[in-house]
Amino acid sequence: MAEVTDRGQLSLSLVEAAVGVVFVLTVAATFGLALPEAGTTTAQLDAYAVDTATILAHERPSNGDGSRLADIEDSREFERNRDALDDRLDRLLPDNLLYRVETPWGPVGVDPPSGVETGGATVMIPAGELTVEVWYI
Amino acid sequence: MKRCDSGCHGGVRVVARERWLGWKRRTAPKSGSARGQANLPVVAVALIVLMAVTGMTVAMAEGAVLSAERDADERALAVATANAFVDGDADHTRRANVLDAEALAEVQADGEWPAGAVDDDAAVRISASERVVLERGDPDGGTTVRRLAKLASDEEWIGSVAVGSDEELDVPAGTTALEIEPDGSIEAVRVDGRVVVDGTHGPEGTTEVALRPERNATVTASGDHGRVAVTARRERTEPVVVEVTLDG
Repeated sequence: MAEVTDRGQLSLSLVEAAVGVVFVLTVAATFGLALPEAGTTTAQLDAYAVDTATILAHERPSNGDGSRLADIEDSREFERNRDALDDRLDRLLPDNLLYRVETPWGPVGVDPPSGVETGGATVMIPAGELTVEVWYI
Repeated sequence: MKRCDSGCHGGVRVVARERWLGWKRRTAPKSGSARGQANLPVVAVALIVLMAVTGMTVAMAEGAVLSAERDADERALAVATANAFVDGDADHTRRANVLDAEALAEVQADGEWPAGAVDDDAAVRISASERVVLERGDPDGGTTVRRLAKLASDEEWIGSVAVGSDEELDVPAGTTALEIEPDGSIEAVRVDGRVVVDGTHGPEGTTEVALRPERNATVTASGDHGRVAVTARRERTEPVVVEVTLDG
C-alpha cells in the first residue's frame, strides 16, 4: 500500500467521457457511412432501357431506309436485319452502356456479366415481346 | 469515492494534471494515504465534452436526413422534367422520344419551358447532346437524369413526273409527306392510284399529301400535257442524349 499512497488516480469521469465520445461518434459515423444506396443507378438504367425499347419499337432507323422493328415479323427477316439492328442499338446508346435485346427470334448484343446492375424494359411488338437490358461497362 | 488498491499506473500523470487544474487532492482521513478521486470539475468537463459531441452528432444526423430528403425531391423533379421534355405530347416533339429539330431551336430561342416541367425556383438545365437547350439559374452539381431520344429533321427530295404518259414516280422510302405542284393541263394526279389532285376544275396550287412512311408510294399524272413537280419530305433522325440537371 505504501507505494500507492502518494499517487493520484485516473479520473474515471474523463475515461467515461472519452468512451462516451467514441460511442457517440461511432453512432454518428453510421449516418454518413451506412446509408443504403438509393437505387438511382438502377433507375437511370431503367430509363435508358425504356427509351431504347420505345425508340426501337416505334422508330425507323436513322438512315430512313429499312423497316421498323415492328415490321420484323418472321425470323428470316430478323436474321437479315440482325447486324443492322445491332448497329442501330450501338449508335442509339451512349458509349458507356452495353445492351442485350431479346427478340422473339433470338438475342442481339452480349450477355450481361454476372453481378452487374442492369436496367430492363419490355415492349410489345406485333411478333411478340421485346426485352431490352442495359448496363454500365 | 474511488479507491485504488493496486495497479494504478496512471496515478502520477493524474496528480500532475489535477495540480495543473489547480485542484488539490484530498486525502482520505482514515487510511491516511494520498488518493486521487473523481472530482466535480472533471465530471463537469466530461459532461460538457459529451454534450457538445452529442449536439454535434444530432446536428450531423439532421443534416444527413435533410440532404437525403432533398436528394429524393430533387431527383423526382429532375425525372419529371425529363419525362415532360421527351413526352410525345410536348410542343417540340413529334412522337414520344422524338424531338423536332426546328421546334427545338424555337424553344431554345424563346426560352419556353415545356408544360409539365418544373416551375419553382430550382436551377435547371436541359441539354441535348451537350448543347444547352434551356437553362434557368446555374445548377451546380445537383441531380442529373439522362434520357435517350432522337432528333428529327426533314430532308427534301425533289422529283417530277410527266403528265399523260405511263411514267411512274417512285418516292423514296420513308417519305412522310408529299407536296404536289402540277403545271400544265392536268386531269388528275394520283398517289398509289388515289386521286389527290383533281385538275378538271381548273388549275390548282400546291397540294400536300401525308403518307405513311412504311409505304413506298408511286405518283402518276394523267391529262394532256405538262409536268408535275413532286417534293417528298422524309424524316432524318439522329440519336441524342437528353440531360436534365436540377439543383434545388
